[in-house]
This record gives sequence, structure tokens and C-alpha cells, in this order.
Amino acid sequence: MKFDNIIIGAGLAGLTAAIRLAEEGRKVGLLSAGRSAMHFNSGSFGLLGYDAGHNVIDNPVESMASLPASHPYSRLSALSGIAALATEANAVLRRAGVKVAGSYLKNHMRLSPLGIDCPAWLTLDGLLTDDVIASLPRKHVAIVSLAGFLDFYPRFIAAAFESRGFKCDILTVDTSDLRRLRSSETEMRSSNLSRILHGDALDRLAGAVNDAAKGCDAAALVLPAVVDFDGDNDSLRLRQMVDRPLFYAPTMGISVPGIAIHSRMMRHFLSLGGRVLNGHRVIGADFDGNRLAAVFTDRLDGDRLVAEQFVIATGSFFSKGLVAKPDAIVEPALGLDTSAPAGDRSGWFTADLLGDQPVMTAGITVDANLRAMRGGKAVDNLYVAGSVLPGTASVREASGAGVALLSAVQVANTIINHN
Amino acid sequence: MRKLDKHYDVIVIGGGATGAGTARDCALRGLKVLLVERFDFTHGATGRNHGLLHSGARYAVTDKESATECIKENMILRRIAANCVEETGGLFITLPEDDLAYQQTFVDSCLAAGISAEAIDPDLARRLEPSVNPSLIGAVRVPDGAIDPFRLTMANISDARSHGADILTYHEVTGYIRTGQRVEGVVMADHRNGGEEVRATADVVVNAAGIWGHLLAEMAGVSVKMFPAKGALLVFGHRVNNIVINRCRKPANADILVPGDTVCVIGTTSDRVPFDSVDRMEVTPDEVDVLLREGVMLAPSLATTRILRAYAGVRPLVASDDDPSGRSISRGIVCLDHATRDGLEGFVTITGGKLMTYRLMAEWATDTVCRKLGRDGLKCQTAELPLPGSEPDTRDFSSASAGAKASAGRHGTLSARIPADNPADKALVCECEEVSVGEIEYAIDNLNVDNLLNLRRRTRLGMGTCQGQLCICRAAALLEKRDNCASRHLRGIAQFVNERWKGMRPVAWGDNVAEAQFTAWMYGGVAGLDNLPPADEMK
Repeated sequence: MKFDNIIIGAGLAGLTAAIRLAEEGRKVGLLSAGRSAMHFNSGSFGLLGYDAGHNVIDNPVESMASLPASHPYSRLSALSGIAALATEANAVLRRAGVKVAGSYLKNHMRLSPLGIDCPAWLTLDGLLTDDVIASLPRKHVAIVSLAGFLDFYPRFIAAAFESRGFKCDILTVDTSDLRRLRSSETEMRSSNLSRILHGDALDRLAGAVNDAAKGCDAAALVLPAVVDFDGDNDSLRLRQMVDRPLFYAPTMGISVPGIAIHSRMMRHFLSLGGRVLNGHRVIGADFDGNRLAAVFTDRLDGDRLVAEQFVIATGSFFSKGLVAKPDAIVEPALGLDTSAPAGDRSGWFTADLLGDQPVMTAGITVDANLRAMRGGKAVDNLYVAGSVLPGTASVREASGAGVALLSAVQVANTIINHN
Repeated sequence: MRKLDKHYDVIVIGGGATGAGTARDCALRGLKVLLVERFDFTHGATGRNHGLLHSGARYAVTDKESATECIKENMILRRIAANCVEETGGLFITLPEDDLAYQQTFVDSCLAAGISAEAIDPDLARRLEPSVNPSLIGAVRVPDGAIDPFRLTMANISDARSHGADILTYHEVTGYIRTGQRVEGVVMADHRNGGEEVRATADVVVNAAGIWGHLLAEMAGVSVKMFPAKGALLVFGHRVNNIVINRCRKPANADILVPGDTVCVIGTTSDRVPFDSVDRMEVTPDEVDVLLREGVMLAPSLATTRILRAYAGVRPLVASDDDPSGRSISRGIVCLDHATRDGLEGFVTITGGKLMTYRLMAEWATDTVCRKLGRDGLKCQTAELPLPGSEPDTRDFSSASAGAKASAGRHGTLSARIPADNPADKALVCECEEVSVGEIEYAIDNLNVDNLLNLRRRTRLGMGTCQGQLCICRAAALLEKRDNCASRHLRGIAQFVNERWKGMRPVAWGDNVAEAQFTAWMYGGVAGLDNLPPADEMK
């Protein structure tokens, strides 16, 4: 198979690059190895949330000035400037139908599934943020849980409001649809709820919410984000049917808003004529000197995937874009050069898993144009985007989505301008 | 300062198998008992060993006394603790680099100690246990098995309590109430109440604190010379073997592979460690390498099996001579009446021994207590009376839910008390280990559970292949419902994550790094727990 461009990895970075190239009329092949990390995204994107001392950052772009030169943002800043890339990334999301609010010049705080404030750049419309909370006319909300649903923690969400001086009522609603789902002991999960809460079932849920909230003078209601944010946008319809302002709090684990963002972007890419190869893991490649000529996957019986330019956006360890062997960090698909902390594995980690972990800054070594290095030389037509870039501890910095979006836009533009 | 109103016949210090067994034995004999534990049950060596139901064969050649005790207790535990025991059988294999002549010495010693030991053809061994190293040149069948020390301890605690014992966890003994050369009670710090001082009086105090017993004896002014021997183990994420596999040679590093639940455990090492390190045992890269290298000799497929975690415990051996590893120290029981030994009245130390002989240790300690109380006539019944949950189970599980079957596996006949009347009770919180809402409610009400860590020790919540990715938030929300302490339970999630991480970090490569990153992302990045300081279990 022959494409203009092949993108290896269909997460946020891969999809964004694929969309940009397809929008420019390229024939793009997108290789997806499995479930994307986006399915766990709670509906917000971080650009840069924390500084090196893990203090919350107010203005991400300003704070990027103090990042080391090896950080992806330092490279992107030198190539195109953060403001231009962030603006363009936001425009890509908008064209894909992902409705988000936020500014790259000022972080807002999103409310996490456990009710903890976390800095964010963009948040999907309808989810709880500090701006939403500040806009409420009275300091009184009702947290509405669904009977038997264990992945929403009304008391933890209430604690976040109470710490802001709010009065919180906790209401529980039940409908015949929920009762049916509950009869099996593992079915009350967010993605299953989003599958049944359509049409009449959504009407019944709205009725139950209105009944439960009758007589309570809360300024707003908070529900778990388990109604579909994609397709007919049931999340919006429910907000219209409920008789007072309604906002959603994300749930732990598989995230309905995260899936919606992913599927909207995927549909946009397909509508532009893009081609997706699902379930394909790259297992080898043909190099022609310093050029990548073709890649092979585990699902193609020796068939070569040929393209002018390639983007590798396979993610970090969790997505298997990087693999930690007992004595080295390797890039498993193409055997590219990697950077990792010096010394043996005893220096990779520290005792607090949620703290700084040196190995998390590992990635594929790149040149100034984000081209991948192989055997110490840049591969002419292979660009790197997203979490597999080196020099960023994206989880700790809350920069994963920002690095993915901005680096994807950058490498797509480099490819477009090249021809 | 608070003083408990009740005066006890006996206070038992230590919430491991020995302390729990002693409290049960005392309570069954009608004594007024208080058990105190500075942390949570099973926190010391009881919760950090192989889970091996020793046949005694391992000690037959070098330590006949222990071997004899082991096989007797092995047979008793199969009867009284049926719900905690899995009768897997065991193999002692000889590899080409081992001395095959040792096998005969081994078999003879086993038979002399009363352990059935049958040399079998290597071909039969390969058929019985397909994971065994196929190059073996000899094999002996022995009655080894697997035992769940968490269940065993809690069954003893439950029975002690239902026979009137009082139980205090998170109460650390900081001193004794004394009159001259007589111990008359204990002074404790209540860690769940800011370390408030609590006093309790009794006629006899039993020191059953494992390796910490050394310090408790010192605090009473007597000396028990103990030998802290660290043992490191690895848990694999798959049950590779169904029969316990041992190496037929003098006891050495990493020569026992024990199947348990859905995993298997290789161990152990044995190294003397300083006393001041026993509260923070960490497994070193060298220990991991030794365990893997030797483990692969028993079952080659371990080389390609994911390692779930590493952990280490400290054996409370009683020092006898100058042995740098402690391998040659007897595993025999040491029961000291400090009145006759040191002229200190009212104080007994029970130590040495093994998990296997906990019941016999309890019996000896209780015999000593009864003698001191002048109540020699009270008979020990623990060799006959089944532990709660281990009575014959006649229930029909053919149409029961997954959660009901799993909880019956964990709690035996006691699972009948777990609420399961409606769908809300039956909903699964931990899908890997099939722990229901009802089982968590039961644990909170009956098993001294008030945080995620003790919930894990009682129910196996979060111990399956996903190591608690989602269930711990669900469980934290259920715990919070009881005490409305959101911040403590949120910080408890981070604490749980780091407790699991402590075991993963020594084996953090491959899938474990992927999992660690996912965990850090879910709980730090997405949930924001990295913005809160983790909880301290003692507080």
C-alpha cells in the first residue's frame, strides 16, 4: 500500500497530525495498534500545569521560558512559537467538532474525578471547572449520583464544593433502565451507561433528576459524565431537559468524554478521506540510507506500507511506544535511538510513584526538526510527535496533551512546507 | 491518658499468626484476653512469607525437631484450617548439577521424622508438574501445600473475639506497668488518636511480636537474643505450577516455588539485617537477580513470566551461634517464662518457630500462661476445633454469583454472613479478585477495617493482575461513607498506590513500567492525587 504520509499511532498526536495532513489533501494512512490513551482522558487537555517544583502554573507560555532546551516546548518554541501552534491546535479541534474552552495564556482549574483541582488548558463544554463554579449565582449545589454506579464519588465531589463554602445536597436517582443494567454485577460502568442512556432512557433519567431535585434550591446540579458527548450529544440534550443548570464531573477509568473526543477526531479524519488501519502494530521497516522507505505490520502478510514521509507517535511506555528492558529503554517498532536517564535501572524511579520519576523523560532521540535519530543519524523523512518525544515528564507536568497537539501540528506543517 | 476498665488474665502483644493463635487459645480456655497490635494484623513476617504449608521435609536433614513439628502441624492445619489450605503436594527435585546421592539421605531423614517421602521417576514428575525443569534427574513427593496466612490469622482473630477476646489494632506498646520485678500491664500509644496513651492491666503479658519481640523484651529489661534474617520473595503474575517445587539440597537461596491463588511465589533469600532496618525492608536488585536465576532452575517458564512484585520479611530466629545467614539456626520454638529465666514475673516470650507451627507456639505460650495463673487444668482444644470458616461447607454454589463464590473461597462458611440480598450488595468493586460491595461492608463491620490497606489484607481487594487500578477508588468511597472523612480516604488512595509501588519498584521493567506510568497518570495526572500528601497508615 502506498500513501503520501503514514502516521504510526492513532492517539491524540497521531490523529492531530493525520487530520492536518489530510486537510491539506494528502493521502494519509493512520496505523492504530489498539485502544488509545485518549479513552482515559477526562475531557481536559493540559498544556503545562506544573513547574519543576510541582507548583501550579498560571501562565503556561510564560513558564515555558524556564524549561530546559531539551524539552519539546523549547524545541517547538524555536521552530514556530508556542502561541501559533496552540492556536492552530485549537482550530484543528474546533474543525473536528470538539467543543472546548480555555486559553494558552492562562490555566483554569478542572475538577478531577476525585474532586481535586487540577490545572488545565482546554476543557470540554459542560464539565466542571473553577470558572463554572465561580459563575454560579448561589453557593449551593446538588450532587446527583446514579443508584449502584460505583465510579462516581459524590462525597469526594461534595468535599471540593464544601471547601469553597458551598452547601451540597447529595441526591440519588434511579430509573428502570439503571435497574436493568444493575442486575449484572459488573455492568454499571461508565461506557455501558453511555450506551443505554439515549432517547427514551435519557428522557426518563431527566425526569428522575427533576423529581429528585424538586424542593431543593441548589443553583446547579452535578452529574457523572456518563452520557454520550459524541453523536447526538446526549450530554447537551440532558442539560436542556433538566430544569436548572447542569454540569458534569468526570469519572475514573474509561472516560465517556475521552472516548467522545477520540471518536470525533477519528470521524473528522475519515471524512477528509483518511485511511485507518486498525489493530496494526509496526514490527519492522525498510530503510534506504537515511530514508525510511516502508514499514511492515503484524497484520499485513509481508505487504509493505510505503510513504513519502512518516510520523511516529506511538506514545510512551503505557502505549508501548517505549519498552523498558531490564537494562535499557528501547523503541520497539523501528529500533530508533532513545534517550534515557544515565546509569542502571535503580536510577529510573523514586519511592513516590506520583512524584518525579526520571525514566518518564525517556523518548526517541530527535534532531532540531523533530526527526528521529537512528544509529546516531537523523532519518530524513521520519518525524516524532507526542509523548514518545524525549525530555518531558508529561504526567507530572500535566503537559501530555499539549505536547501531543503542538508537536503534531509542528511536524505536519514541516511535512506540508517541505513539498 | 486512658485506662481500660477491664483487668485481663492475659495481654498478648502482636497481631501476627502467633499472637492471633495465642489469643484464640487463651480465649477458648476461658481466659480474659486482650490482643494488641501496633499496626494492622499480619503486618510483620506473617504477611511476608511464601504461604507454604511445609511438610517439614525441608528441615528433615538439618533440623529434625522442626521437621517433626512441621509435619504434625501440617496434618492438624489441613483439618482445622481447611479454608486456608490448598493441598497441592510438593516435589523435591534433583538437577544435574546437584548430588543425586543426597536424595537418599533426604528420603531417609524425612521418614525418620514421620514425613511421607516417595522417590519417583523423573518422567512421572514431569507429568505431574509440567512446569518443572525437564532436566531433573530425581524427584521426591512430599505432603507440602499452600496456606493463606492472612485468612489464617483473621480466622484466629475472629474466633478469639467470638470467645470474648478484646482486640486493639494500631496500638503500640511503648512500656510496661510494673511493680518491682513484676509486669502488671502495658502502656500503649493509640496511633489512631494522635498517639494518646492507653493503659491496660493483666496478670500475664505475652510477647508474641516476632522480630520486634527482641525490642519488647529489651523494654522489659530482659534479653532475648534474636537474629533478624531477611527473606526476599518474588510474586509472578501467573500460576506457573500447581505443585510446590523445592530443590533437593541443603536449604539455600530461592529454592521453593509455591503456587497460591492465581499467582506463584519464589523465595527466599536469607541474610542477617540490622535491627534498626526491620521496619523498612526493601528488595535489592541483587536479590531480584538471585531469585530469578534460581527460580528459573526450578521452573524455566519463570524466565518469561511477568513478575508482579517483590517483597521481604524478617524471620524472628533465635540466635544460637555465629551463623552469618541464619540458615543453620533451628526453626524450633522458643517459649520463655521470664520468671524462671530472669526473675521477672508476669512476662512470657514466645518466638522462634515458623508460620507452620504458629498453633503449637500458641499452645505452648497458653500452657505457660495457665501454669502461671495456677489454672493448669484448662485443656488446649485448638488441634481439634476447626477455625471459623473452615467447618464443612454444605452450601450449593452451582447458581451463585462470581462474587459469592470468591468470597466463600476467602471467608469459608463465614461468607454466609456477607450481605448479598440485592443487586447493590452484589455489585463488584474489585473485578480481578471478585470482591463485592457486600463483602467490603462485612469487612468494615467485622474485620477491623478502616482503610484501603487493611481492606486489601482482609479481602484481596486490589491484589489481582490490575493491582488496584479502579477498585481502590470505589472502595475508598465506600469507606468514606462510614466516617465522612474524605481527605483521609483520598490520601489513602495515594498511600495504597505507593504501597503497591514499593513491591513493583524492584522489578520495574517491561510491563511493570507501562503499568506504573498508567497508574501515575490515572491517580496523579487525571485524579490529581499528586497534589495531596499521602496518608500515614499509623495515623
